[in-house]
Amino acid sequence: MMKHLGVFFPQNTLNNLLNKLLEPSASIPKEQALSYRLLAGIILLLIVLSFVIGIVISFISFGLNTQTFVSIASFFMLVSAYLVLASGRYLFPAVLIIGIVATSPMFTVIVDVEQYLNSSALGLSTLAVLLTAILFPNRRSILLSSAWVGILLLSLLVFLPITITDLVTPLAVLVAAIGFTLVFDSHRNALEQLRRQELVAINESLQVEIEERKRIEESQARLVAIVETTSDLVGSASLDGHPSYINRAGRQMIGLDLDADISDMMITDISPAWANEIIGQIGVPIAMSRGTWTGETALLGRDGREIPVSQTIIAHRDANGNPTYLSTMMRDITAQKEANAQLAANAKRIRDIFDNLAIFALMLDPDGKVVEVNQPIYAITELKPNEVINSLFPNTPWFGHSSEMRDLASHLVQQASQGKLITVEMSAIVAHGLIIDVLVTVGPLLNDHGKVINLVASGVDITALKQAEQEQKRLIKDLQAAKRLADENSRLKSEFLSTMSHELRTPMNAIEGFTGIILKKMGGADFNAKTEEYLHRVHSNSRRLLQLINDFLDLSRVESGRLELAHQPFAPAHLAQRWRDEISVLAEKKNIAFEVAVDPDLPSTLYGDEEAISKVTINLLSNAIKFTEQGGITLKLEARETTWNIMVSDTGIGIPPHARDFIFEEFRQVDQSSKRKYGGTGLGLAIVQKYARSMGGNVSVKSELGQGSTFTVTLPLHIAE
Amino acid sequence: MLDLPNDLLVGWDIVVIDDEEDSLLVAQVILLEYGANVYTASNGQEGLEVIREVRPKFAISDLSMPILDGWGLISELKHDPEIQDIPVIALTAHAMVGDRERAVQFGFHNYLTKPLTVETFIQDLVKLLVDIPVLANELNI
Repeated sequence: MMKHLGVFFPQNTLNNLLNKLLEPSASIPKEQALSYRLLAGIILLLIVLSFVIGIVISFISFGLNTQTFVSIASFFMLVSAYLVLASGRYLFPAVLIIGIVATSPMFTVIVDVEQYLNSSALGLSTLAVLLTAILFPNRRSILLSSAWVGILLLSLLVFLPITITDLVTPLAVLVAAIGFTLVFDSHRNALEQLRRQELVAINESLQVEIEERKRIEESQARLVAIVETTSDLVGSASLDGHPSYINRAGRQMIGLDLDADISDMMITDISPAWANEIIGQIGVPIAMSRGTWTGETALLGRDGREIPVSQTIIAHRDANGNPTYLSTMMRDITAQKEANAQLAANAKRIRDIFDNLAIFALMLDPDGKVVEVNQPIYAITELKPNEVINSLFPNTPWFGHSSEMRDLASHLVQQASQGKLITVEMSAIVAHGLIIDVLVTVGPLLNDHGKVINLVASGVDITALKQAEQEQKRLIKDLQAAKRLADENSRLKSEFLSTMSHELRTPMNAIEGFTGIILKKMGGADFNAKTEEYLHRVHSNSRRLLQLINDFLDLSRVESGRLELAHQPFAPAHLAQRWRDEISVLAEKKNIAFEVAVDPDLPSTLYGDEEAISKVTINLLSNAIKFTEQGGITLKLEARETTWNIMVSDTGIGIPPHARDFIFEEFRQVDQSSKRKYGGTGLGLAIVQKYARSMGGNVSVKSELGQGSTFTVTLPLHIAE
Repeated sequence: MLDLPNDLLVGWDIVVIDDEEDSLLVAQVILLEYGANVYTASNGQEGLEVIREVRPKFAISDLSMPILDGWGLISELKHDPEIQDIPVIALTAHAMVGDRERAVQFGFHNYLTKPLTVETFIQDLVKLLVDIPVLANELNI
C-alpha cells in the first residue's frame, strides 16, 4: 500500500506523515499523550465551532434551504459518528442512524436532481468513510477510503453540473471528518495506551506484591512448621516475662495443653528457681546487651522433674535498636548429661582398674613420652605426677641408676612403636634408693587401621620372686649336695655291708667247711661222742650265722639297688623239678607231704632271673615246711594272661590277721616265741617280697589261723627275650 | 641225695685256684677224700702255670683274686690252644647273680656257689661233670 502511495507522494514525506499520524501511540510518554488529548480537544472544538459558524452563515445567507439542511444533517451525522467511534458500542444502532441520516436527503430534496446528487454524493461519501471506519477500524484504511471519497467528489465536480461552491461544504465536512477521526483516533489510542500502560503497571505491581506476600507467607509457614515440629522448646515473651508463644514441643515438655491459654503465665513458671536466677541475673542481661546468650539451665517437666536444658535467649529490637521482646530456645540435654555422666563413670572405672592393678602400668605415646602412670608406680616410687608425666620413658627417674636400663628402655620403646610386644627383666630404683627387679612388658596399642597410637608398659615386681629363685637355687644346690652325700653314704653303707658280709662269710665258710669235714671224719679227723655232739652244735650255729649273713647280704643288695637281675631263658618245669629235689628231702625229714603241680598252659620257656625266682620260691617252701607239723605243702605254678603265679600252700599254723600286715617286714615274725620255736632270721619273707618286687611282681598271703597259709608270688610273664 | 663212692675221682688231676687258704683247703680235703690228685694255686697267674704243667681233667677257680682274677684266667686260657679245652668251673660268691651268667658267657664251663660244704660240694660238682661227655664216662659212678 505504501509503495502505491509512493507513486503520488515523495516516500519520506509520506512515511513521516503516516508515522506521525498513525503510530503516535506506539510509545507515547504520559506527558505527550496529555498534550495530544489537549490538541485533539482544541481541534474538535475548532471543528464544531466552524460547523456552527458555517451553519449560522448558511442560515443567515440562504435561509432554511436544502444546502442549509444538508449542512445541519452533516453536522449531526458527524456528532453521531464521533459518538459511535468514541464509545465503540451501539454499533448497529449507530450504523442505522448514520444510514437514515445519509439517505434522508433523498426524501427531503427529492424535487431537485442537482440537490439530490449533491446530497447523495455527500451522504455516500460520508457513509463510505464511516462504514470503512466501522468495518475496518484501522486508521490507514480510513485515510485511504477518505482519499477515495475526496477523489469521487472531485469527479462529481467534473462530471456533474455543480459548481465548486456546491462542494465547499461537503468537502469541508469530509476533511474535517477525516482530520477529526484521525486526531480523535490517535487521541483515543494514546489514552487507551496510557490506560493500558497504567493498568499493566498496576497489574505488575499487584502481581509482585501478591508474589511477595505469598513468599513471605510460605516462608512463614515453613518457619512455623519448623518451630512446631522441632523437639526443642521455642518460645517468645514480652520484656516483663509474659510468654506470648510456646511451641508444641515446649508445651509437651512442660506439660501444657497444645491449645492452652498462656496469657496469664509468667516465663519464670517453667523453670526451677535456680535456673530462673541464672536466666534473670545472667542470661537476660547478656542477651539484652549482646543480642544472645546461651547457657545450661533447666525446665520443670510435667511430672515436676527437672529437665536439664541448653538454653539460648535472644533479645529482639525494633528499628531504633530498643529491645522489644525476648525469645528463647531450650534443648533437652538429659541424654547428653547422662551420656557425659556415663562417660565420666567409665573413665573413672577404667582409671580405678588402672590404679588398682597389682602391677605397674603406664601409657606412653608412640614416641615413648609418658602419658599416664598408675597408682602402684606412684606408691612405690613416691614420685609426683609432674616428675614423670611428659618425660620420655627412658629418662624417667626410676631408670636413673643405670645407663644400661635407660638404653634397654629406649630399645623397648623403639620395638613397641614398631608394633612389637617385648618383655624383659629390668631393675628400677624406687623410693629410699631401693632397687627392685621388674619384669617389664611393652607393647603397642593399635587403632582400627593398625597404626600404633599408644604404647602400654606394664611391670611386675619380681624382686621377691628373684630372691625366692636364688633361695631355691641355693636350696637345690644344698639338696643336691645332701643327696650326693646321702648317695655316697648309702653307697658306702652298701659297700660296707657287702664287704662286711663277705669278710664275715669267709671265716664262716671255713668254719662251716671244716666242721663238715670233721663231722664226716674226712682227712683223718677223729673224735669221741661228746666232741661230735658239740661239733654238731658248732656246725648248726655256724650255718645259722651263715644264713643270717647271706640273708642280710641279699637284703642290702636289693636295697642298695645293686641287685642285677638276669633276663635269661629257663624252663619252669625244670625249675619246679629242682625245687622238688631240694625240698622233698626236708619234707621227708618232717614226714609231711609235698606236692608239685605245673599248669600245662604255662609256656615251656620263660625269661627272667632263674636264681632270683628260686631264691623266692625256696624261701617260701622252707617257711612252709618250717611251720607245718602235719598234712602237707603244695607248690603250684599257674599261668595267667600277662603274669604267672608261684603258689606255696601249707597246712601249718596259719598267720593271725593282725600279723599279715607286717610279716613281710624285716626281722618280724608273728611273735617272739615262734622265733624261738621255729628259728629263722625273720628276713625270709622280706627278701621274698623285695625280690618279687624287683622282678616287677609282688607277693600276697591268704591265711586262716590253724588251717594253713597260701603265699602267691605273681611275676610278669616274659615269653620272649 | 646221691650216695657217691669214695673212689669217684681216683686218678683224676684237678687244679683248684683260690686266694682264700681255708676255702682252698676245704675243697682240697673234700676232693682228696674222693681220690683225686689235687693241685692248688692262690691266684690266676699261678693257676695258669699249674694248669699248663699238670693238664688236669678240669679246674675250679675262684673269681675274685689278686694278681690275675678268674676273668683274666679264663681269658688267657681260652686264648691258649694248648689248654683251651680244659673245662674250668667258676667258684662264685653267694648270690652274685650277675657273675654266674657272665661266667658262662666268658668261657667257664659252669659255676659252683660258695660256701663249699661237705654235703653239697661234691654232689653239685658231679652234676656239672656229667654234662661234660668226656669226663662223664670216666666218673666212677
